[in-house]
Amino acid sequence: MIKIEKIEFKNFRQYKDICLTFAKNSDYNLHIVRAKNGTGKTTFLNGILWCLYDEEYYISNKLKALKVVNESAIQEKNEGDIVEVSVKLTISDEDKFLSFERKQIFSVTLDPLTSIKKSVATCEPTLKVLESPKTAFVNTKVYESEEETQRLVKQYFDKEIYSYYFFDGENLKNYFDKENAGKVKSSIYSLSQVNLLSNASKRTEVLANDKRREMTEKNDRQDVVIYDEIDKLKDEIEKLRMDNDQLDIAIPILQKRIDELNDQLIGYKPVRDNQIRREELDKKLKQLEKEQAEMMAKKKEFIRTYYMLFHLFPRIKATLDMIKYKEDHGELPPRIDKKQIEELIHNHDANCPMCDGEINDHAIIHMKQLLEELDVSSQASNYLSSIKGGLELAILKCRQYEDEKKSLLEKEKYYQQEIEETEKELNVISQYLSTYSDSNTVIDVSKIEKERTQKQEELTIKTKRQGANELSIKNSEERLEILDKEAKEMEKKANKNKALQKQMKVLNDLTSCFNQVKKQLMDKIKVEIEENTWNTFKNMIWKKETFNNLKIDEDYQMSVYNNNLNDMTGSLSATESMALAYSFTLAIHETSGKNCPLVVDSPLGRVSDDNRKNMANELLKISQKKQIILLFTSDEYSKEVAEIYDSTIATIQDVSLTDDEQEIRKIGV
Amino acid sequence: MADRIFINKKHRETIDFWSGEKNILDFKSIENIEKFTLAASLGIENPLPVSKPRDGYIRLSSIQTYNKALLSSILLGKAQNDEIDKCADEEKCLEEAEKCVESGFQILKDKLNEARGDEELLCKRLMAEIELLYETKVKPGLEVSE
Repeated sequence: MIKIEKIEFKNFRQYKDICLTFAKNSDYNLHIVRAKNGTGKTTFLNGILWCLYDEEYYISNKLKALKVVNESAIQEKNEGDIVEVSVKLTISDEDKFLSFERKQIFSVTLDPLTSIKKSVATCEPTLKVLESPKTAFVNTKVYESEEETQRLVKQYFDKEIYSYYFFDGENLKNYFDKENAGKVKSSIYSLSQVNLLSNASKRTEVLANDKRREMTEKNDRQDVVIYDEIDKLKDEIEKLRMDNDQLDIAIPILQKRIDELNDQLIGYKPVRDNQIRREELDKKLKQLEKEQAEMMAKKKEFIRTYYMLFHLFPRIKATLDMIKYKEDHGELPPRIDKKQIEELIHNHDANCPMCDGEINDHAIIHMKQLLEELDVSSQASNYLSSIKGGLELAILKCRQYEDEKKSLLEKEKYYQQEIEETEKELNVISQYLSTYSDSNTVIDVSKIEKERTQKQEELTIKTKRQGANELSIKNSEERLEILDKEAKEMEKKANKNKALQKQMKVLNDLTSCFNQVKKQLMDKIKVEIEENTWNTFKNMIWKKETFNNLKIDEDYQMSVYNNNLNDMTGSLSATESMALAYSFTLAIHETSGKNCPLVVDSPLGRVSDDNRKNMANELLKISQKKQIILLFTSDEYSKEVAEIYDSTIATIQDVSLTDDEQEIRKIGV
Repeated sequence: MADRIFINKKHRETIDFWSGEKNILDFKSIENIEKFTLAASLGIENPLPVSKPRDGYIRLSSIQTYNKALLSSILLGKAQNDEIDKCADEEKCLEEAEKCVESGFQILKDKLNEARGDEELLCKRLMAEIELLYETKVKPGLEVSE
C-alpha cells in the first residue's frame, strides 16, 4: 500500500507553517481533515497538486488568483528579504519513504506609489525527490533533474489522471467527458504494461520486415522499392494516427472554449442579438455549404456524363441511323438468315432444308444474288436490336443537355451568392464585435470576439486537417493492402532462404501473440474496471431496483443503463454522479496495480439522506485496504457521518483560520 | 472469348491517382465501367493495341445494356456497310473499346497536367470543351435527327 505519511506546508497560501500527519491508528486507514467553509480545504488539495505538478488545477480563476506565497509572510519581512514557499509530501511505499518537495523563492519589494509590500518570484518552482529506506536514513537518494523527478511523479501519481487521486467532490462535470476518458485509457495502458506489449509487438514486426527484406535478392530494385514504400506508408499512417489522436483531444477543447465565449456574448445584453444572429447565420452557412457540396457532386457527374457522350455522339448517331435505316428497309430483322445461305452454298451436296430439293446451279446463283441483297445475319441483327434502346437513351440524354446545364449553372450561382452574402453578414458582425467598446469593465467584448475568431480559425484548420488525415489514412491503408499482396507474391517467386523464412515466421508468430495478449489484457482490464465500478456503485446508492448495469466503451467512456436498458448517464442525480465517479476512481486504482491513496475534497457535500450513510460506510470499508483522506466541512461531517466515523477512523484533524485570517492552524489531533 | 475487359496495368496508376486523395471528378465513387467508357470515348480517334502487362478490369457479365450500346457504337459507328455483319459482335466491339482506352487514359492524364493538378480549373476547361462539342457536333446532329 502506498500511503501519505505527512504533508508539510510553508508559506503556501493560507498554509503558512503547518504539518499534517496521517499515521494509521486503527484497522481503517481513513483520515479526516475538518474545517469550516472558506478555510482552505481546496487549497490543501491545490497544495498537493502544486507540489507534484506545479499546477493548481482546482483554482477557480487562474488569471485573478493571488500568488502562492502567504501574504502575511511577505508583510512581516522588509524590502529585499526573501520568503521561501514549499510544500513537501512524504509517502511510504513498502520498505521506503519518498519525499516530494517543491520550493519557490519570492523576494519582497515595495510598490513605489502605495508603499505596500509586494512579492516577486525570483525563480521558477523546483521539485526535489528524496528516497530513503524505512529502516535508516542513510543511503538516501536525491533526485533533482526534471527527467528523474517527472519519472517518479508519473510512477506514483500520473499527471494525466491527477483527478483520480486528488478528487474534488464539487467538480464532477468533467469527470465523464471524452478528454478525461482518453487520458484514463492512456494512463491505464501505461500502468498495466499494455504499452510494453505494443512496443514489443512493433519491435518484432520491424525485425520480421528486416528478415523479409533480407530474403529477397539485394540487387532486385523492385523488391527494395516495394518494401521501402511499405515502410514509408506504415510510418505515414502511424504519424497521421498520432496527429489525429492529438486532434481528438484538441478539437473538443477548442469547441468547448468557443462555446464558452459564445455563451459570454449571449449573456451580455448589448451584444446578445448580434450573437444570436451570428449563430443563425452559422447554421445557415453550414447548410448552404452542405448543399453546395452536393451540387458540386452533381456537377462532376454532369461533366463526366456529357464529356463522354459528346465525344461518342458522332459514333452513337451513325450507329443508330444505320440501325434505323436497315429497319426501314426491311434488313432488320433479315428475311432470311445470311449465314444459313452461305452454308448451303458451301455444302450444296446436301438437300435444301426448306423443300428438301436438290441444290442445283440455278439455286446456287439465286442464293448468291440473295447474299448480295442481305447485309446482315440473324446474329448481327439480334446484336444491333439489343443495343438500339441504349443508343436511343444516349441521344435522349444529349437532348437534355441544355436544360440540365441551365439548371446547374443557376444553382451554382445561387449558392455562390447566398454563401457570399451570408459570409459578408458574418464578417460585419465579427467586425462590429471586435471593435465594440462600452463602459463595462467586466466584459471586454472585443477581446472575447478576437479570441473567438482566433479559436474558430484554429478549429477550422484542425478539423480540416483531421478530415484530410482520415482520408489519407484510408488511402494509405488501401495502398498498403495492395503492396502487401504484391510483396507476398514477390516473396513466393524469389529464391527463399529457409533459415530466414523460419526466423521470419517465428517473429510473425511472436507479433501475433503479443497482439493477442495485448487485446486480451485490454479486454480484461476494461471488464475488471466495469465490474469493480458497478459493484462499488451498487453499494453506494440507495436505489436498488433502478439500475441494471453499466458499460465502458473502447474509449473508456461510461454509460449506465436502467432496467429498460436505456442509457441514463446524462440523467443521474448529483448523488448518483458522485457515487459513479467514486466507483470509477476506485476501480481505476485497483486495476492500475498500484494501491495509491485517495484524497477527496467535499466527499459527501452533494449527497443526502441514506446515500450519505451508504457512501460513508463504503468508503470506510475500502479504507481497510487503501488510504483515504477526506476533507470535510463541519456541516458535511453530519451526525450520521460522525456516528460511522468517530470511533473507527485513524485520525481526525481540525484546522481553522487564525483571527487575522492570514493563516491556518491545527486545532486538535 | 475472355470473361472480362482488360486494361494495361500502368493505367491503374492513373485511375488510383484520380480516385485517391484528390478524388478528381469523384472518380472514387463511380464504377469501373464508367471510368472505362469515359477513357474509351476520349481515345476513339486513336486506338492502340493493348500492351502487357494487362489487368482484368471489368467482368463482362456486369456490363449493362446502356454501356454495352455506348461501347459498341465505337466500332459500329465507323464501320462501312459491308463490315456491319462482322462488327456487330460483342467481342469485337469490346476489343476496339480496349484499344481506345489505351490512348484515352493518357489523354485524361494530360488534361489534369494541363490544369496543373487543379480540379477546379480542370472542371472549368472541361465545361468549356463540352459546350464547344455541343455547339459544333451534337446540336447540328440532333437538329438533323428531328
